[in-house]
Parts: sequence; structure tokens; C-alpha cells
Amino acid sequence: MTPERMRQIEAIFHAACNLAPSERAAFLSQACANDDALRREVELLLASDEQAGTLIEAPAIQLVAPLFAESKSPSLTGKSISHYQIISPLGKGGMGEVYCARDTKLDRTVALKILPAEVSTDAERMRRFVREAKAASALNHPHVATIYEIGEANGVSFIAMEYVEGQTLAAKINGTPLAISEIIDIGSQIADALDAAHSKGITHRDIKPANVMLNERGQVKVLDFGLAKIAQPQSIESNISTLAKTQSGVVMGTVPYMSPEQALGRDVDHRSDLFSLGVVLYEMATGRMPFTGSSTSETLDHILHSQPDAMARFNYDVPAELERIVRKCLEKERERRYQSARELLVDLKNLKRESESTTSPAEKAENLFTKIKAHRMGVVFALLALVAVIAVVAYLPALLRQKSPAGPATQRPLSQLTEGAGLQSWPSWSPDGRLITYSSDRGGNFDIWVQQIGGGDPIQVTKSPAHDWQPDWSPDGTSIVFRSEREGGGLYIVPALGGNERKISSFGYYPRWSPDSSRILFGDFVSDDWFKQRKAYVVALDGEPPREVQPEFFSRFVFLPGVAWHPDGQRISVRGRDKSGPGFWTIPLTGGPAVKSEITGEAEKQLKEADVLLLAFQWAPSGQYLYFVGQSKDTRNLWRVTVDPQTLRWVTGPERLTTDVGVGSGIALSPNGKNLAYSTRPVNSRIWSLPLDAATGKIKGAGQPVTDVGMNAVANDLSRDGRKLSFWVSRGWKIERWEKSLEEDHQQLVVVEDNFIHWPGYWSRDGTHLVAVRQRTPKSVGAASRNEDGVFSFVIYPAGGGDEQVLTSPISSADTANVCWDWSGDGQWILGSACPVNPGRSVIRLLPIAAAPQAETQARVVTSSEEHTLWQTYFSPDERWISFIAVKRGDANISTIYVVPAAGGEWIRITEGKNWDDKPRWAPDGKTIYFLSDRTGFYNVWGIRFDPVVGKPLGEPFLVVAFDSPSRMIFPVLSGSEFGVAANRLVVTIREVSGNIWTLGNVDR
Amino acid sequence: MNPSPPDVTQLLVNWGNGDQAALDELLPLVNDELRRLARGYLRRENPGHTLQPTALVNEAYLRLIDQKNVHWQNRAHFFGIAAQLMRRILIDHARRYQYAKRGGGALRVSLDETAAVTEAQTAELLAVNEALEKLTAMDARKGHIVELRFFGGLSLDEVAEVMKISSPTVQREWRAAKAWLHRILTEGNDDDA
Repeated sequence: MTPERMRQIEAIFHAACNLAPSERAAFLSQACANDDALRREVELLLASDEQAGTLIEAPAIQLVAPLFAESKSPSLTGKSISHYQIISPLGKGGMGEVYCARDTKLDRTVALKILPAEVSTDAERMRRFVREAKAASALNHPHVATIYEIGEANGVSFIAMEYVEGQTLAAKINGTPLAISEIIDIGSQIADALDAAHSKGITHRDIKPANVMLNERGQVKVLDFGLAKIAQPQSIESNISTLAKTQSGVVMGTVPYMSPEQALGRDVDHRSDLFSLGVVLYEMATGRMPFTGSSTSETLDHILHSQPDAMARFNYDVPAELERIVRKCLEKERERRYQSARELLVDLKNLKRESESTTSPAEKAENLFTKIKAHRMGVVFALLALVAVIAVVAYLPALLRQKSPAGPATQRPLSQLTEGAGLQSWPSWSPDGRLITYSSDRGGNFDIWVQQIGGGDPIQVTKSPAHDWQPDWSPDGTSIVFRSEREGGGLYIVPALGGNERKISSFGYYPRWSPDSSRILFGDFVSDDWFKQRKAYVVALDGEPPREVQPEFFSRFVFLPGVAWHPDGQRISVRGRDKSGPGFWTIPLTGGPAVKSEITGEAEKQLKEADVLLLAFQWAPSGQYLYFVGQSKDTRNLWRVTVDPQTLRWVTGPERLTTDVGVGSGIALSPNGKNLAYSTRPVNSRIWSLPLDAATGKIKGAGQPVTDVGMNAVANDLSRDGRKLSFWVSRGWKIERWEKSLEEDHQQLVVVEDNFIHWPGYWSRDGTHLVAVRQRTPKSVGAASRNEDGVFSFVIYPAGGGDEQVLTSPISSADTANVCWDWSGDGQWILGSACPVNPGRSVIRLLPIAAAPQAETQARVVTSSEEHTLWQTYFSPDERWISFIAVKRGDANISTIYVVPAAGGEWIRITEGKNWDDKPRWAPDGKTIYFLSDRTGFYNVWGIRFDPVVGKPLGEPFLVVAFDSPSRMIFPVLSGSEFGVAANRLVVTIREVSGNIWTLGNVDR
Repeated sequence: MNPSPPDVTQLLVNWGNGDQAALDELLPLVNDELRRLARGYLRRENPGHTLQPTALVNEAYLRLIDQKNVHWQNRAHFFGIAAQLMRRILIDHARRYQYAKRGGGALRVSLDETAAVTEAQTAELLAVNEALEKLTAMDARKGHIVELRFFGGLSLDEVAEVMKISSPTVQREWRAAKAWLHRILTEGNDDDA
């Protein structure tokens, strides 16, 4: 049949189809005229049309599905397996049929899961099954259906587990929202079950209402950990990771409850369960699922790309906090979700408490502080600048409002290089761009690893028991330089794929090769962002000692987040802030003046609009672009600035390359300038309590966190009796002030402070009140500039919340840093310090509360200094002495602890004056001064004996407790308290970091 | 920049640009993946539920393609390929099944009720496939539509989107294609064939 003939037939066919059958004959006679053959063809086609019916209407795969499907196992009802008598089928589970059965030995009802024969004869699947079941059987938790036995009888493999009577959550929801209290209750129980499982490395992978049973008492049992697979262990053996990848090739789970990573068939971890639980919470609150479509593909598409409607659209009762919690569960990027079930559980419990109390603390706060609006703490002078910038980044990210420019127009593919729960960070490319080196603690401590782009197992390059990190690959490809903590710390070089390791400097951090691989630039401080770094060094490989680069130039900086080679290899560039403000300088290595990059009007405008704090950076090889890590609001992104390579002028302002991907601090540009590697660094801060024997100054036993993951508690202050803790939690745009009773493990949200600043509060001796510095004047909220000043007073407020009493007249932070630190024992005096911004006299003084609200007018000066900033002052227990730190003006690198008689007199030097020693706290007997010091690179707790009778230090400082890893370190915040000592305990704020390496393509477009 | 050898995206783009060799390279890669997905999907599918090949194809798409790298219109190419692949895989399966049943292979097939049903369906599938080849020879567009819908599992609207033709046209073509296929199947041959 020719195509013409076919078209002819069809034309008549379609016309005939539109007619009633009775009219067709007449039509055909006319249309086909004398062509009988044509008429016959059309008639046959019309007949076929009528008879075709469902032909090919069902998809082809359905016809032959059984070819793929497993053969059915015969019914087992009535039969016995081992000592289980099968009563009735219950359904099909993740892997096999489930029956209700009688355990004839123990005379109890069980759920018996029978493994299909195909599986039990498949050795590999069998191994997997047993492994999963064993993992699950280790779970003994009130909200997890218990696994009694894993067994085999007559060639049938089975699992016997707890039989739960009641209804499934799916049946309970059945399309209608549940009461809020019920949602929180059920959600908390599921989260609790997941927490228990996750802590044993078990991921459920199929959380859905049908897998949640509710017994008649409303108690939740999570079923079917049968699908669960042991999460990839943190200590990597390449076999294990390969195996895990192969297995995840099959997408497991139930579509509408799948996390994006599950939908993509990628490796999943516990956070995938939290996503699914988010879906379940959503369904409980609204009666509907957040991601649905008319087909599975549409559903998957929604899971991957859509934001669900607010739950309040379907249920007016849903509180905003629940909305926030669920949204956090449903984040597409798992780094942005809750990082643990515990974290989620805490939020649910808090929500429960809040929804139960009649007046919410938030409302109280509103009444209290309506008059007080906010802005940031100003940066006033060297120390304060340092402190405040950290404070902004650490405490108040939410206040830095971001006005984002339009999203990137260029497609920039993002891919994840590393997987795992530890901290993978500081990527650096091999010269051919095919490999990345980074540091990871997956082996227990930090070592240097190398991994191929696009997949492949990581190769371990260094294996020292000390931490090795901050690797940088030499541009000639032969070696990797890194920082190591071995042998007292220093910089080492190792052949790129492992071998002989050679020390090239006995100090320094963040080494970076010169473009010609002949020299290495490095800094002298461990903080990721070089907050404190004030010196840069260069070392060649010829055995000569490192040489400091342009010391005079570097001494000007109060904030120095980035130092890097200029692509010409003769100059280095610096991102920093000096007294005149932020800037970008480029300076010849060997001497000569620095060039501060001019910023064109256009770039200036874009900088303002972007409202971003530019931190670490790297040059494009062409000198045309600068790539920055930029902090805005509470996220970090990658940014690009276009530069005129000749004049170094910034031609256009920062352009954002990523959207809230959780960039950490290190970035690395591939040698061809096309790809950026960076590490994500979700940071958690928790306050830890460590059991202290104050008499010996020793920690006795393991410490433990006393605040929850995800709360991000900071700024702790411990009452002198060691019973009460106050701390802050930064939540979105708000700051919460919490109090916790450590003895009773009870915590309470005292005040939600909306958009204003204050410094941490300090307990009175009797624990009834706190004193704090508080901003008084409303200014532009979330202002772009990071350098605004505010007006501050001391205020006193009762523990547990209540009206605050203003103690002092407002003082502008542009003139004076005026801070309170401690109370006198009688509760009548506040110990504080006031340090003028410009040259002038810093004083430690006592302010009588009786003279409020102008207590400063009757202040009693304890001591003062023209040369120093005086800070962190505390009474000894007997109030004879006052400890404090003194920081020389113009040298904010060194802080020295002194003691002065409370009545005034000579300073007694306590520490050497070579390190940053901070927050001197007295032991209850007054015979030891505890403090934080960075003398070993990290902030650790140190102590030194003190003779309170004659007033002098005894012996050398001794280490009390060390947190020597960037994945768990004492929060390097100098402004707040962050450290407290009592007779039986010591509390510190610990920053915990995890993260993985990602790459971003097309960054040159 | 990306050195991973099976760069599906690139192969896909090449195929879209008319490079037939790319398809040959693509086939084994996608084939295995689809097979695995199909089995995984079937395993957790409850009896009585309709299978959704679109979902399989979508999963394959999501897994195989660096989606951020591929523009939306490439999805159309992908569905075209995916439908072809599904067709090849299913036909391949059906043929092997028949071969095994005739005792030629080492495959163990238990001949219970399910198998009897399967046998009829397998035969039907192979017959439809042959008829489709004939139809495609007569009218390639109809062949493509049937392939996308029947093997690829797309809805008619999706077919319209992928083929960039209007929905009413697809509906007309589908109806005619069905009628032609039925005719070919019942007559066994065509006048001119």
C-alpha cells in the first residue's frame, strides 16, 4: 500500500468516524465514488476501529510484567514453620509475605515475615536480608516493633516480630486532618523511634503511614525495619562503599513518601527518613500528601522540584511553628533538613509545650520589647571589631538580610563528590582537573584523601594518627602540601598519591602553592576564615625558614578572611577590613606598595544590593574573575566578581553562582578555571557539660551535650552554683533566650527577642537575676553595612523572665565598648569594663545598682589602662581579687590574663602574654583560674594555680580538656561567655561540623 | 571536564543530533538500568495495581541523566529513546521466554497458571510488535506515536508534547493507528506487503 493510498483511506475513515453509523454507508458511496477497492479498505478499517477495543491501550510492560515478577509462593496458612503456626496472611511487606502466627513455644502471637524462595536461594540477597534483620533486631525501643527471631526452617527463612494490634496511621488519617496535639504526639513517637534506629546506623527507608501502627492506647509502633539497611559506616572501606552504591541502584521506598535522593536512586542516609516523616506529618496535618501527581512520574517531579503548599491552606489550626518544622523536614537538600531525628524531636516537644502553655513566650516577648527595635552591634575598634564580626556571623546570621539578585542565568551543574557523615573539607584540584584532594575524618581522625571526579573510591594519602588537613595540590601535580598536627604541628609535603612525607615548616595553616609550584604561602591561625590571622608567610622548598610577608601591611587588618596568590605568582591578594573599612588589596610578595582595588560605581551598587560579606576567595587563572565565599543572612554561597586584570579594578559587583547550597569556607578553582569545588559545612553548636573535680582541676569522665542538636545554643553562662545555665538560640530572625536547670534537666524558653541585639546575660551570685548589655535604639534592621553603631545600656532582668530594669544611660558603641561581666556577692554592684574606641583610657569599674538608671555616674573605678583594652572581668569567690584580660591596643593577637586586687592596685600577670588567653574563671575555692587558650592551635580549657593569700600564680598552665578537631571544637567566639566553671562541672559551647565536597561547573560563564 | 566514561547525557545529545552510533552505545547502559528498575518496580507493586512504565522511564531518566545538565526539551529525546529501549527490552524478554518455553534454553520456567497467562500475553506482544513494524513502514509518524504510548507509557498529551504536534492530531492518529494495527493483526498481512 502506498502512503498516498493510505492517506486517502484515512481521510475518508476519519470523516466517516465523525458520522453516526447509520449515515456512513451513504457517505462512503459518495466519497469512494467508483473505487470499490478503496471503499473496501475504509470499511475494513472502520470495522477494525470498532473491534480494536483495548488493543494496545494497556502499556506493553503490563502484558509481560509476570516475566519480570517473582513467582508466587503458595499459601502457608495453617502450616507450621519452626515453632510458629501460621494463622492468617497479614499482607506484603518490604521483602516478603507477612503472616499472623502463633509462637507455640512462648504462646504468643507474632507477625511472621517469610522470605520468598527466590531470595532465600540467592546467597547475596540472603546475606543482605540477614544483615538487615540483625541490625533491626538490635533495636529495642517502645516505638519500634520488636524483632524476636531471625531463623530458617526447612529451607524457609523468616523473621518473627512483635504483632501489633490496632490500626495503621494510614487508616487513621484516611484523608482527614488529625488534631494538632495528636500530630505532635504521633510525630514525636515516630521521631523517637527513628532516633533510636539512626543511632544504631539503621535507616528505615520506607517511612509511611502504612508502616506506622497505633495501638488502642495511642502508642505508636513503627513497623517494617525489614527494608532497612545498615547505613554506610563512617569508616570507609572501599568495598563497603562500592557495595552500598550497587545496592542502592534499586529504588526502594514508596513513591509519595520518598525523599529526593531516594527518588533519584542515590545513596540515602538517615536524613531521608526525616524527609519521609515530614511527608507523614504533612499528611496528618492536612489529610493530603504534599507531593502528588496523576502519575508516579509527576509525583517524582514534585518531590524533586516543587514546594508544597502551606499546610494552613488546608487546616487553619496548623501553627506556624509546625509549618516551619515540616518545611525543614521537606528541604530538598538533605544538608538543609534536620540533621538528626533528635533535633526534630526536640522541636516537636518544644512545640508541644508551647501549644500547651496559655500565653506563648513569644507573645510575652512582644509585649516587653515592642519599643525596642534592632540592628547589629557596631564594630568599634580592633578587639571589638573582631568580636563583633564573629558575633554577627555566629550569633546573628538571621539579622543580615539578603536582597538576592536574580538567580543565575547560566546552568551550573552541581555534583556531590564525597559522601558520609563526617567532615570532608578543603578541596584542591589536581592540575589535570580529574582528581580532588581533601581532608576527611572518615578514618577516625583527619587525613588527606584523593578522589576522582565523577565517582570512584577515595584513596587515602596520609595515615598519621595526628590530624592532617588543609591539603593543597601543587600546580605541577607532583605533591600535596598540608597542615598536620603531628610533632607539635606544622606544614608537610607528600607525593600526590602517597609516599614520603616531609616537614617544611614547624608552624602555619592553610598552605597554598604558588602558581609555579616553587613556594608556599600560608597563614598563622587555625580559624577557617582567618578571622584572627594577621600574618602571612612564604616558604620555599630549599630548607630556608619561612619568611613573613609584608608584616607592616598585614598589621593593619582587623578582619582578614582571605589571602591568596595572584595568578602572576609574584603578588598576593588580600580580602580584609582595616580601620577604613572593607577592601581588597594586592601586594608584591617581596616588597613594594599594596594596590587597593578600586570599585566602579556599578560594582559598588551591586555590592550594596547583594548585601553579602565576602570571605575567602580565589583568583581565576586569567585574572578576570575573583571567586568568593560570601555570607548573607544565614547562608553562604559562591560569588563571582569581575575584575580588570590590568588595573585590578572591580568592574562588576558580586554575582551569586549558587542558591543556598550551604557553602563552607574553602573553595578551590579547577586549573582550567571552569569548575569550583567547595565543601558544605552544616554547623551545629551545643553546650557541653563536663564533670570537673575542682580540687584537682581534672575532668573525671566523659562530658555530654546539655543542649540539643539543631538548637544551635551559644553564649552560655553558668551560675556559680553550677545548677543553672543561660544560653541563646538563634532561630530565623529571632533570638531566644533559654534557661536550663542542669540538675533537673529541664529547660525553658524565657524570651524571644525579635530583631535586636544584646550581649549574653550573666547570672547574679544567687541565681535570681541576670545582667546584660542591651541595644536601646532602633536603627535600620538588617542593614547592609556591617559597621553600624548602636546605643547600648546595661539592663537587669529576673531569671525565668519578667520586666527588665535599665541600669545605665545609653552609650553609643561608636564611642565606647561598654560591657558588663559579673555581679558582686551582695548583688548590689555590677562589674563591667568600658573601653573607648579611639585612644583613651579603658576602665574596669563597679556600678551600683542603687544608682540606676544612671549607675555609671556613681561608678567606682577598679583599675584602668591607656595601652590596653580591658575585658572579661570576674570576681574571685572571696571577692578579694578580680581577674581580667588585657589586650594591647594595636595588637589584637595576644590577650594576657591578669589579676588585680578588687580594691585596686598592681596588676599580677597570670599568663605568659604569648597567646590568646581568654575568659578567666575562678574555681570555687579560688585556688585555680580556668581559662580558654589557643596555645595549641585550638581553643581548649586550661588552668593555672593561684595563691589567693599572697595573690600570685603558681606553676605553669595545665591543660584541662582538649577539643582538638575542627569537627568538634570549642566555639571560637570571643565576645560572649561560652565558658563556665562551678564546683562540679565545666561548661563550654562546642561547635560541631560535618560536610561534604561538591563541585560546581561553568563558573567561567 | 567530566571524565566518567558512560556519559549518558552526551550520548543522548549526540543521538538527538542524528548520531546513530550513540544509540548503540547508549543501549546497553540504559538497558541494564531499565531492567533493574522494572524488576524493582514490579517487586513492590501490589497485585492488581496498574504498572506505570512512565514511572520506570522517569526513574531511569532521573538516574541516568544529570538533570541539571539537560534542558527540558532533551527530555523529549529521552522519552523517544526510552520508549525504543523499553520496546527492545520487552520484545527481547518475550522472545527469550518463548524460546525457553519451547525447551531451547536453560531458563527454568514454572508452568503454572501465571505462566499460561503470560504465554498468551507474550504472544500478543510479539504479534503487536510485528504489526507495528509494518505500520511504521507505511506511516512512520503513527509508528512513533504507538511506540511512545504503548512501549514508553506516555499519555497522549505527553506524546503530543514530546512530538511537538497538537493533541487532537495525536488522538486522531492514535485511533487510526489502532485500527490499522487491528487490521494487520486480524488479516495477518496487507495487500501490498
